[in-house]
Amino acid sequence: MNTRFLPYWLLAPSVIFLCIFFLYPFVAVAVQSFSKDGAWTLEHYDDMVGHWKFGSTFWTTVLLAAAIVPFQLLMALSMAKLVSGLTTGRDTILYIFAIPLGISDLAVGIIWLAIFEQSGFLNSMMMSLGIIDQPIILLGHQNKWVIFIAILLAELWRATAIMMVIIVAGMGLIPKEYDEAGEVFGANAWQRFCRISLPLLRPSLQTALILRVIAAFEVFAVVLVLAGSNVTVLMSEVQRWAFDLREPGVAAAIAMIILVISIAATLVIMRVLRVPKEAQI
Amino acid sequence: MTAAATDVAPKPTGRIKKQGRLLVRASVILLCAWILVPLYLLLVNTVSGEDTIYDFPKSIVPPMNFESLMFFLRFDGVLASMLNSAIVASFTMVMAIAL
Repeated sequence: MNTRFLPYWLLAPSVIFLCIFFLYPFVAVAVQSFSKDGAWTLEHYDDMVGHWKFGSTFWTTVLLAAAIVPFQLLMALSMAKLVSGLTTGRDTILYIFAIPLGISDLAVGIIWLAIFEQSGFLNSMMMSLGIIDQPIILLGHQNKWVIFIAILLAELWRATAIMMVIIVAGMGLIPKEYDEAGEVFGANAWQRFCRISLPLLRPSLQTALILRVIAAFEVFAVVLVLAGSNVTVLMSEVQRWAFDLREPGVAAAIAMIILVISIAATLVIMRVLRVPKEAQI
Repeated sequence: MTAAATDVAPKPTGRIKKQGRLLVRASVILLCAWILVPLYLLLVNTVSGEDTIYDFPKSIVPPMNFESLMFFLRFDGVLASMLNSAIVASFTMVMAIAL
């Protein structure tokens, strides 16, 4: 075989795989969202925007992502810093921190439901501490902010680990000399972290943030378990339109909206955390 | 290099260093608890029998009743589904690595 074409042959399986399982469904969904009975139309988008739930759903999703991701970033950074600073038991602690990675989001929803439900652990705890006289309904439609906090905690518990793992790997890549140089010039630990580690971590922060933000816009199972239909996010609307209301066109339109905000967020993150070519290590 | 370091930035004194270590240890324990406590509560629910699962207030001590666990394992189709999950997982893993 001609060696000049060998790389392309080796790449071919992946390319074919991507075309069949990624590009084709993507185009199919896009076409579906813009067409009805074989004719091009914006009707699905009209239906979607016209539905009374769309506005609140959209803003709930955006607000959730905006609330979760900064917390997660802070927490993942401090967890990663802690882990990489440890000398004894580093692997064990890293393993414990990464446990939630292995648990499906539906199961995480069930765990946090056991804590927040009316006969759950939080009510039991508050009762034995004497804060309340009788169990209160925490996840009711009367106070949606409690549901919001429960979703936030569950997501924080579930998905911080993936960011932490990426950041730990990134911290391992930074040569020690930079930190030592900072120490020589009299920078304290906090200054060294802000001025040396953080800027050098930009590539890993970029990856971690992009992964997380996209996943935050796709949050589904945790919300479904904890909130039912009290709080809806874009993904649960996709499910409702596709399977309950039998309107796959509108579901495809919402999926396109998720895609657009994901791409927008990715572009913003890439732009903000851009690493100039000369500064790469 | 170490000499220069001691000249410019005096090494933290023993007391501060000790406090720092204590802080690190405390935060590690706190974060481990944040991860492990929900899992523990799930375990408590798992080993609660039908008679205690709806009790209120819930006890933090696991009642050690393996009824529901055994019921789940003996339930028709559970083992088959587990096998299916294992097959799907191994296939995806092999394909993901190969690609």
